[in-house]
Amino acid sequence: MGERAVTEAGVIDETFAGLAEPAEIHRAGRPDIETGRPGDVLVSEVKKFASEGGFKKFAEDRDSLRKKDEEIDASVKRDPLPDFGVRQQPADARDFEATGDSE
Amino acid sequence: MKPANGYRLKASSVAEVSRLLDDFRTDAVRTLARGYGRLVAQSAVATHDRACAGLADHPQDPFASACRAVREANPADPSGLVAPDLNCVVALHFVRDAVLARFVHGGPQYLKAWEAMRGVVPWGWQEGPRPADVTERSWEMRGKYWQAATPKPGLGALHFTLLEGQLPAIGWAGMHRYVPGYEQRLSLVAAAIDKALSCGAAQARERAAAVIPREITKDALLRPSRPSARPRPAAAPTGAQRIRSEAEAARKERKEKSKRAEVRDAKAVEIDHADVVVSSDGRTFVAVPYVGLDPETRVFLQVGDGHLAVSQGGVQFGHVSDVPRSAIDALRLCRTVVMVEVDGKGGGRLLRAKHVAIVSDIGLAEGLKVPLGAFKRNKGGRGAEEMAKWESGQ
Repeated sequence: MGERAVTEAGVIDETFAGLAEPAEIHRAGRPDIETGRPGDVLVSEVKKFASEGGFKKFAEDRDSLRKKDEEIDASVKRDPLPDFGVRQQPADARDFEATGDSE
Repeated sequence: MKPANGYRLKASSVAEVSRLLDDFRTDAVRTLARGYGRLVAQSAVATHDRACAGLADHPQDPFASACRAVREANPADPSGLVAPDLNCVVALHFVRDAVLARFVHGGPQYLKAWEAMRGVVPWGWQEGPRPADVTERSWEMRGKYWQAATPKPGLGALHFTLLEGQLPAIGWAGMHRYVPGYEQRLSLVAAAIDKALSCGAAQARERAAAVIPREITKDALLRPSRPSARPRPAAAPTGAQRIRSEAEAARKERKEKSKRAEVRDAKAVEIDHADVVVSSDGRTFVAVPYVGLDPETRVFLQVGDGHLAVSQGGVQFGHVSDVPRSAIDALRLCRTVVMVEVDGKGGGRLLRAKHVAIVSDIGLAEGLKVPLGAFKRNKGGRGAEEMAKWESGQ
């Protein structure tokens, strides 16, 4: 549900990537606070994180993980599924049965 | 005066009247002792506590001085009635075979005691319509009696006055039952210290807790443990100065400690402002001041007409007013938003925590407008012609 930051940019994940270039910022409440608004801090922190290559690193990590997964998948020998002898009727025959009582 | 709150005494002889008045006096004196004892106890203990804090001197005889203080605080009123807040007056009228009474003055406890007397019957009368629970005949009789009893206002009544002359002097025995509780004393002394030193309520309270004893005993009142009762040498700092210098040092230390703590954990008191940020990929974020929301519990963001409220586990963490329409509309489009707690002041981690907040629309006006909008049609709009034809055919 929630997550508490333990490192400086602890809560930032990939979903934050769009915040580096925000589409809209609406300021609500306390018009007397002009500097250090939470929205501005959030955007500037994400920008800093992006400029340090944080999101790129996320993407690289994900790619490398996927590659590793794919390698593991490829290495597993695929046995054909066992045949239990269950035969399915062709689709047109099933439809016929389902509407049979309306005659 | 035609009293609406008159009484008649069930008494046919002088002996019965005097017995009734005796009984009432016993009850009333008990009430008086309670009220007066409480006032004296409060005064004596307050003086003692202030003296412990160095804000006053210990009196030679705490009980006598407390009685004196209460007496001075309750002067006689212009008509000569002693201690009007504690006193009680009943007027008696003897008319033919009846004894009528008016409760002239006194607190609600006295009135309660008076009305609870077995021989006292409510027997009021006034010009005007009679109450539903009194018969016509009885009402007429009451009228006659009261008119005979009080032909002119303020004339010819016998008064029973509970307290004439001075309030008595009482000692520990009369007040020990009414000594105020520790919390009450603490807040009183803290207020006094705060007023004298203007050091802030929390600190004054701490000071007060350090100097006043938890229990009040007779010995504590008569022989206070603090040395301020005996005359001090002139060079020694007075109690107030001593408290001030100690408080100054304590405050400095606390400030440094809190500064260190602030860097570590600077929480806002409540969420009174928030920024709604829509990212370039269309996700909506709400940045709020860091209040330390629990990461394990669901956060709710309630969107009203022009305000937001953040709550978690039934506790409201803040209320943001003056929210622009655009922000409200952006939030209404979402089922959930990512709420980021931002720490504006503390160094280090600025983004403190992230929550997924469920957005709920608690706006009233919009909800009413939406169904009404469905009935509004443009005149030359799509299908208008068919609609008109169909309606005319009905």
